[in-house]
Amino acid sequence: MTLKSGLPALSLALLLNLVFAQPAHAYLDPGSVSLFLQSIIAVFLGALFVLRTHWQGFKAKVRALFQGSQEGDDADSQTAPATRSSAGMSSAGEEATQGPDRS
Amino acid sequence: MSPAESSGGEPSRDPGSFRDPSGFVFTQSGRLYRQVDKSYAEHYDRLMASGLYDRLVKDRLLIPHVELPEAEAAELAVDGRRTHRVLRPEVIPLVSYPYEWCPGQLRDAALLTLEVARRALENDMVLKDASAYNVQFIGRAPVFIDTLSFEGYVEGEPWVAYRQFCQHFLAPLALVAHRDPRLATLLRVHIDGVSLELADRLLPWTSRLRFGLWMHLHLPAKAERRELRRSSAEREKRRSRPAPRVSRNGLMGLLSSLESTVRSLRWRPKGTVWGDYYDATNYTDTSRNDKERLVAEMLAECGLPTTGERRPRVWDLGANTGPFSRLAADAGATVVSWDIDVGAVERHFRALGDGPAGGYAATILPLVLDLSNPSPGLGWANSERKSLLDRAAAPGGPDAVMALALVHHLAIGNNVPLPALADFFRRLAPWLIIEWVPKGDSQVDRMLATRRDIFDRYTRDDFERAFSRHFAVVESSGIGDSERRLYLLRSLGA
Repeated sequence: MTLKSGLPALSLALLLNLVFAQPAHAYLDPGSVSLFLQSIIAVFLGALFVLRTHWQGFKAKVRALFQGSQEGDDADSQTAPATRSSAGMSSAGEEATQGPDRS
Repeated sequence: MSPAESSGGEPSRDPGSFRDPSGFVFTQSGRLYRQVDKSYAEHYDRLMASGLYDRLVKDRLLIPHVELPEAEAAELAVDGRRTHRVLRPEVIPLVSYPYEWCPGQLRDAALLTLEVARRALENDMVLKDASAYNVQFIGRAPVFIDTLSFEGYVEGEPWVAYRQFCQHFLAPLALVAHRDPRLATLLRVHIDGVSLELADRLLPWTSRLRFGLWMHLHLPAKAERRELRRSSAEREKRRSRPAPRVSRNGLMGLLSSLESTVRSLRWRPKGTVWGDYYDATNYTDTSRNDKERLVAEMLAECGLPTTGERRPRVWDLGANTGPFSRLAADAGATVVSWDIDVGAVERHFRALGDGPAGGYAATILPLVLDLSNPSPGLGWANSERKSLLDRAAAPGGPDAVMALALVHHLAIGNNVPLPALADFFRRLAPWLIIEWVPKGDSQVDRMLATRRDIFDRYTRDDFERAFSRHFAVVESSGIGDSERRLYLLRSLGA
């Protein structure tokens, strides 16, 4: 199917899809599509992850090099945050609003 | 699955704990236990021996438990031949459900789940499920409660819980952030999360411009629709292909991408009904101060248990952003602050993390609840997720309930007769601190301004008569500078 001939067919299918609502997952293994897509996007996300890890490691080394020449032993404590948990789980601090205390 | 207390001498299996064959939760003599099945032994032992459990518990990401000695476990086990271990997990003060959380809570629960999954992977384990029901809140802090969710990592296997995570967390958070906060109530109908296909239909097209949402939500939804249109022969052919593989870095990248997508889904409350209630009402300083003083006195007077191994429990109904919940917490109670308005709950929840209310993060849990239609029993046999009244009646239920500036909303706003109100409150707790708001009060007049007054039985006499059928009046006092009145009531059945 060429791109030219495929587009009208796809548009028609999407239109029909909007007109006739179908129950989701009625006849298929709910996980199979998701797992297949995951394997594709994970290639891209994995590469990004590796690049970012290397970049952070590189930045930490450069920072340690500069700070090492300036402050000596402080280098380790300065690089620590780069390797700490990125999620930090709760967004309390970031999310907290400073609204008036209504008590 | 839900660590709540229960009573009874015979072991009683938690009706919500049946999906996972790795084990189940049961109660005996009011104590909560989790049984680990032999089929899960390898994974459980790995969780404990690898140090992952210790690290997660140390950082309060996972609920701690005690392993029962073998003899005691054998005595307690429901099916001894299949039992690997019996655990006694720490008890959650109140089991709450995702459809009772404000968006900020759902977001924090999502981030917790991703953090637990990431740490598991670093220790050669994976999360085999990512249900929002695996997270509970102790005060402001989310904690992962399903100790049996961890499995040994097999190189190359994709994350089996990916889709469940997207349905339980990503889809509702996206709907709230990009469409309307009221759509979070979809979680009450869709007990296994909002299908990506439905979320894709409901979201505005602009949400596709967010790369994370496009990748984790819109793209799979489209692929699923396409799959539905394939012939069965085509599907069969696709199934015979080799199983999809994902590298370890791919999984880390996936978790990291989900995390940044979840972080981008922020909802800021504005223009909701009650968000500015205390700013908008015309309480004078005198009446507000007087009310605070009276509530504090009544809390002290209602004989909440202050000794023993547990703190007293107070539910504040119609709590708004929690000014009176903080008084109850000051009195030593663990408080659940229920409110109908998701904006007020969100503000309350956020304020607990910082600022003047920051000190209450461990003792106050704000939750969303429409009292005119409270959480019902849901799921299989109506008992997987417990109703509000069932949770109130359970041993983890409240010792006292506060219903301040609430009666008129239920009696006039929702036409509930006063005797029915009294009967409802009787089923919640032995103690009740309730505020009577008469006709003539500006709030009641405002409610009646746009409708016919059919409430000839909404008088103080009617109120006292209705409640005295179930409660003894321990104390009552007018609130200075207003027509309102506070009552401290004790259930006659207590």
